[in-house]
Amino acid sequence: MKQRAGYLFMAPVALFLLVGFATPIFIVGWYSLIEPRTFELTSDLTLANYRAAFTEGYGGPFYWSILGAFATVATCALLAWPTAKMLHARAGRGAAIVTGLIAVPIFVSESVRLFGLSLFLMPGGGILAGSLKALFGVSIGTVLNTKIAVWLGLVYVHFPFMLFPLLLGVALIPQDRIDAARDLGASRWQVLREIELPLALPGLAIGALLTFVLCIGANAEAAILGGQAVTVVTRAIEQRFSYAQDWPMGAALTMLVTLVTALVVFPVLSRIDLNRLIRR
Amino acid sequence: MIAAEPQMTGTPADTTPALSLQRLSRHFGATRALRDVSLDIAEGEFFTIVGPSGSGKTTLLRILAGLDRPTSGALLLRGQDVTLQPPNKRPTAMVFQSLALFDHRSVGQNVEFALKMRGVGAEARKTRALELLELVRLGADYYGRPVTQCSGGERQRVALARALASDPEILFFDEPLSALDYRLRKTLEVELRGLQRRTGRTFVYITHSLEEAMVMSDRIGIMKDGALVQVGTPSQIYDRPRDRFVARFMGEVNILEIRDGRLVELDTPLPGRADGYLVLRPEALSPTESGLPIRCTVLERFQLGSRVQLHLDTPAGLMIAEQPASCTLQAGDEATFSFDPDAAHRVSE
Amino acid sequence: MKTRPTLPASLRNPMAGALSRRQMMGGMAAGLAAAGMPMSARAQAEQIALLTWDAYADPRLLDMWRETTGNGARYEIHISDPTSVNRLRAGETDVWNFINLNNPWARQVLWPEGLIYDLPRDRFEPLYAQMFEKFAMPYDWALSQDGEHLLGVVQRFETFDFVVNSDVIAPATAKDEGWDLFNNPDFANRYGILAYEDWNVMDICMGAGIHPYKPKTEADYAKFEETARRWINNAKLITTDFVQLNLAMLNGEIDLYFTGGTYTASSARAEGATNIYAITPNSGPADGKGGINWIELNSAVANPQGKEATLDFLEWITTPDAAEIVARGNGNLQPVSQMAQDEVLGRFSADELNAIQWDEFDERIANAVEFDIVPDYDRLYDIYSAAIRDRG
Repeated sequence: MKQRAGYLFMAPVALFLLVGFATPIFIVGWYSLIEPRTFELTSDLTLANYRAAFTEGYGGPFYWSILGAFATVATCALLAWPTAKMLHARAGRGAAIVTGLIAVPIFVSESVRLFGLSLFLMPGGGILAGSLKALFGVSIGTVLNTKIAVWLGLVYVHFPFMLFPLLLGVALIPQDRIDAARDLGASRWQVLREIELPLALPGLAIGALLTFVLCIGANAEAAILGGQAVTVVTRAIEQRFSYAQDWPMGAALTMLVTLVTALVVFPVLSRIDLNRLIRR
Repeated sequence: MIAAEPQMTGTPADTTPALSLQRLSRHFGATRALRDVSLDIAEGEFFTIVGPSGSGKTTLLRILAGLDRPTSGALLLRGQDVTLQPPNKRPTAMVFQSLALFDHRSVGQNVEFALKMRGVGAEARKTRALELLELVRLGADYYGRPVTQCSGGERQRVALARALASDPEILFFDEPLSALDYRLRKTLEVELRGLQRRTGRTFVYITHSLEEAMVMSDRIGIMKDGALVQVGTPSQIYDRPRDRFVARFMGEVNILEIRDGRLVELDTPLPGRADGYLVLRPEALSPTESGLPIRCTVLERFQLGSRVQLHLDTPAGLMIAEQPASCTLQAGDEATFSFDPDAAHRVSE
Repeated sequence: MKTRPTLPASLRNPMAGALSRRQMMGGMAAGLAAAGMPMSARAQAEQIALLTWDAYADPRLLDMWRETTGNGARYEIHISDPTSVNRLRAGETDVWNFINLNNPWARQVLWPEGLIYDLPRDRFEPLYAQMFEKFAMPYDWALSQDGEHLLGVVQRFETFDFVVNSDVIAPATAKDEGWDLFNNPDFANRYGILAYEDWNVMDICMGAGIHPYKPKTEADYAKFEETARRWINNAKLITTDFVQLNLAMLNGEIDLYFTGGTYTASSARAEGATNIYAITPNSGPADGKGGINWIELNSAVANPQGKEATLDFLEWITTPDAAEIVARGNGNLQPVSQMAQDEVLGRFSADELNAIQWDEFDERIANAVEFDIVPDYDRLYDIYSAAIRDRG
């Protein structure tokens, strides 16, 4: 009886995953196997789109998306670690306000935030350049429409996705373990490497995965801040689905992005103990 | 490696204390957790700090280990001021109340931790770790085991081995046995004392259990409200508690007030003793009429192995006596107990 | 400095910003429809559904329509002409009632493939009499190839080429130089690209000396590829948001951008930035012309549900009140064919007419070839998009 109840409780989410996740992936997978620029799902299947993905210059977009994702994960982790430690150590009203302030932007449309950042970075009349000019008489250039701007935007948008899991992760580090390590002769750096990072790993890994997956699919940063200084893979896919009207090619690229994501996500996910994060 | 004898330190061991606490105070906001604690702990001594929870003993230990800094005062380690030295620079090690084992590491990695931090090579670390596991009576086969698979007693020994690994000059213990069951605790108390004798190291131990302190310590310090109220050998403290607090803390005692040459509760003259309180241990009361008599009714009788404890209803209220098991008094019996007021210890407050 | 209009970019411009996940899902939903699976949203009896460029999605227009007729309207904004054509081909004729595409599509694709209705000539031909001379019947783009059927109503039109900062490049010079401005190494890294990508393909043809609407030789493709890569790599920024380009021009980051015209320049000009100046070249490789003139044709999708309401709507949008809103659609200023009537033209101030560069409008139209379907667009687009991928 008990067993059966368990499966019944699973049914809604299983159904949801089937309809919302498995079915679309299946359709995209099918599309990726039909002739380029056709819409007939009943036609003969072909690997032409996958061949094209490796021969027609899609390496660049994949490279920039993956590099951007890794760079963003690394930067966000470096920024989020001290922030999480500080918020955890000073848990209280002040920390709650800071946490809230960091969380608020998540509820504002990403495009709006990026346009805001773009106004900030703009040369001459931009907020940053204009203020520096007015206050200190300093004229500066701009990173707008460069790769740096894309990276800044990615970090700016995805920082909370790294921070919040990391806060949970940092909460998994008992103070006495840090004390013990210090007492046993560990320097602060050694404590970080030997104790804090391994103990906070579940949170760090979840944050890194969230950030990575979101960055692989990110497009707006390169479009709005980068002036398409680089073409990211999402943009290349968008071109196939829109102006090119080449859904099969777009689908093949989508499947490849999904594959890259899976290759990163599953090995990491299998190594972390999610229960530790939840039971805490 | 653990030396069998205390190391020579250049200065005679009897003149330079291993640890010298000079007016240590620690305030947390308005709370004064530690007030002007001064104390010398000698080289090779097993010193135990006893006090109820909240008395400041853990705060004191954290300052000694360098995990906290005093608001004022100084700490000298073999004559060197280490007050501001971070914990990883001090030749001391601590066994935590929680043990603070690194659950994400194996037993061997836990034991080797201090050596790894000091850059000792893997081979040397392992040799040393196996030696230490032997010393704390865990076999070599524990080396690769996850600490999460160890029992309470085993974890205790791992924590001890870990603290000993860097061959620290002083070991601190923060109630490490409090979570263990009685039998195991007794075994480990004896082992710990034996280990301290064998290694000749200075041990500073804190506990709220007087019994533990009595078994292991060379000297005991009693803490109350952030201050050391009495320091002495176990027998000094047991026999001559400084005040009613220490007396009560050392075990079940009967306390009778003396005022103007009379025992107040018993309304009996007691000439020749100054005002204060008489401390009567339960074994000082006997059902004879050889001293000052107290008429009473037996309320309860408890068997304590070879002895019995009797709860007595007296004019001074409830008093407790202990007798050999051969004593025939039962609950409800009328009796007269007496004690020798001249042998009884008096405290002034 | 100009302030950015407060309307969300996605309303002003269908391609503004990123392709959102929702748009992706919309695409997938259309895919499901194409695969013969059920769609939940269907055109309702009294509600007409517009597959349109943004001017007809203006809430004032749709509110006025609702008040006038009691009929509701819902809309979706095009991504590009070919995308929407493919949606109708994929079976969405029973989803939509109204479609407005640039001039060639109705005559060459939608009508031959039975995707739109023809309009009753007696009811709709008189509307053409109220327009500019250019549109006098028989007007080819509004008629089937055999001249028998009227396929839609012409309204918005203009030339769409490039935009310069007239403080940096004199308009007269820009018109003379034409597309070679973008070939000039002096302007490398001084221009932007508005990623209306089908238009970019036509512009690059012009810059490569190729007639965009004629079949190409292999040499033409090679020249196109060389030009596409050079233009794309030399661009300071590429964006789907023309406001961003206008701001970059005002900030001095760039001096010119393509593709652009009155549609992208007029709102900034109306706010006083009259140095943002739409240019139509005096000459070019398309039968001697370098400009491209688009004319939107509003047609009735072959959907029996709501057909009458759709015909009413097509007629109603040519009334002066409605035409004025279309001309001001979503905060933009855009010439409409009804400006031939004094009653409509009189509603625009001198500043507004300056914003749409009305005094030289006839000259621009005269210097432009009419928008047409690009032969072998797929091959050209693949060259273009490969060049985009290589950027960076």
